[in-house]
Amino acid sequence: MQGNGQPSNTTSAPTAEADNSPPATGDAVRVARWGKLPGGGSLSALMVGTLAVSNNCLVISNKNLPPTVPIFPYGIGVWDDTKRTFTYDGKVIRIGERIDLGGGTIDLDTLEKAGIKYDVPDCGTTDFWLAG
Amino acid sequence: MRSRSLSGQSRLTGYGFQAKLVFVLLSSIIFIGDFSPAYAQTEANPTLLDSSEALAVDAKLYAEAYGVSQEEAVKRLSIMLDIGAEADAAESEEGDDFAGSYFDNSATQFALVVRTKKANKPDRILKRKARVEARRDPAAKAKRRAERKAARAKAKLTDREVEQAEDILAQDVEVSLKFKGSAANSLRGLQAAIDANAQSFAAIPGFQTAFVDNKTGEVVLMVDAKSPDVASAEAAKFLKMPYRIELVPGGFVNTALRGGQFTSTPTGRRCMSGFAAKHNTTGKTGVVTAGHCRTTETISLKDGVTNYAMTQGTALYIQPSGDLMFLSGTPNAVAEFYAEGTGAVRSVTGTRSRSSTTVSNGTWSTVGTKTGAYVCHLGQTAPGSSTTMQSCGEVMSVNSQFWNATAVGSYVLVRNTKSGAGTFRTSGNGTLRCLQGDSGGPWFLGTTALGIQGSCGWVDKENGIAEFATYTSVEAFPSIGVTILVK
Repeated sequence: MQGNGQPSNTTSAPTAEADNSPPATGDAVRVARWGKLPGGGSLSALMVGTLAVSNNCLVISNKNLPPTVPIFPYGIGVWDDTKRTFTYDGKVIRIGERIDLGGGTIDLDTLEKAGIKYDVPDCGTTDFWLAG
Repeated sequence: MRSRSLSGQSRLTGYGFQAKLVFVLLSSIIFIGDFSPAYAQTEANPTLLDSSEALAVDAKLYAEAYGVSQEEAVKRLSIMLDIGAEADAAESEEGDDFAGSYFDNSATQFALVVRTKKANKPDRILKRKARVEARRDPAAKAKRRAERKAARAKAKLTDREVEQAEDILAQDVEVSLKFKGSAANSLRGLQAAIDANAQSFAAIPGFQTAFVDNKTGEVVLMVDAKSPDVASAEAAKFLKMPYRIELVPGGFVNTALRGGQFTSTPTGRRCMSGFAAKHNTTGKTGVVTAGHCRTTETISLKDGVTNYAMTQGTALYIQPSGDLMFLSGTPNAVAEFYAEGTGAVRSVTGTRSRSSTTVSNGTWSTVGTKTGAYVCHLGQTAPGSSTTMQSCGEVMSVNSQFWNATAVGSYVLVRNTKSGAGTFRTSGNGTLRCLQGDSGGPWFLGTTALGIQGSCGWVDKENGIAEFATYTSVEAFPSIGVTILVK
């Protein structure tokens, strides 16, 4: 995990397609997070994709393109490693299922410059989505 | 669509009856999308409407536009559809003295008006003949109701509305034919003046097209300019017919980019366009959306059913001063925007800066003594839906930020209200909605452009009940090198 800084160099090339299979035994699925401030809003664009796991990260699968890493506010959205589900906005979404996710395109530089706390694992992609 | 060429324009203003239709053209079939009537901007699971259903949909618009009943609207539109031969015959009686014809939609008594150089003549009655194939007996109607239940629900049509349209199509309908005599010029003479001066028209700076206004007997020159003065002075040098200049900032195009359209990407990222703008360096027109709508993918913008690939220009990317991005593509953009759910567009006639926007002195828990500006935006009715709606709220700050609404920045903060500015939503839906996918859409008041949708806070996210929303003022457009198009 990275905190208030850039992720380390990628350890593997971005995958063309997200891996929807469970991670290898012992590898927990990592969820990227950001520190939404009280009184702050949420970006109001929409992304529709498939929930997937890539490089042991929770990602949105984007057909034949590198996956997008959604960055969720701390405390919002819960990954269940046993059930392989992510609960968000009151909905339980399984790996391989469609997810409609509000937010907007973000780069970590912007978070950094704005002084926003974040924990974004190295997921082998630089395509991030700031979920609200 | 109008053509830029004079020859194409002459087809529009010649003697063919279809050119005189002044309202939405009805087709025998139209497609509708998932959730909406005919104005949906999606092709997903399109539903085919039959002629009666299409007529009923369009009549709703007509009824609203001209303040008549749905029944009267259906009658009028059915006349526009089917009375071409009778109208052509009436025009032919005037021979070379025919000066134009038009439907008088605003009159208490709807009429087809024929203008002529001859003296006035008494009014007559024209009869639109019944469409025999539209007749259905009660049993057939009941069967049709069951078959079309889902489609009519999608189009927000009741069986009564559709059957009213069926009944009217299946019967003769009369319309008054009025003559206006002593016209100064014949339509043929006006058209000849256009044809003879084609090269001179083309030399007028910003010239787009010229055509005859059948109602006024004027030659209309449409020019891409901020003022009519230059075009008018140039036309006066050679045009010996009555004329007027109409401005079309951004130019006259076959298809147009405008505010309130949906943008999408192959992988399902979705935003909206806010307002049309022109790039200050290249002169290229396009639309402005939110900066956080940028992506490594190709963004498409949909005008009707056609998708256009956009080039992503300079972005102001989630900065304290705003969040904007310029998109341009093959079609030019026009100074118009979709503002509500009817599919009608509004012209942008002006802009309002943050400093000119009234701010409430209330707080989040108290109603202020000073009422903030009541401002509106166009958004979806559900995330990812192609159906749009207008919703509104009260301006609480013009110095807000995305990350923290109370921090100092340049975003305009709009609060949900109970029933309008100066009221306070304590429960229920209030007046303001915000859906995921609304980003980039237009904020406005009437025809005044205010800003570009950026972010929201919700009290009920699933149903889009917003606590607040923020937008970037159009005054920030220069920071991405563009100028908003205003008519």
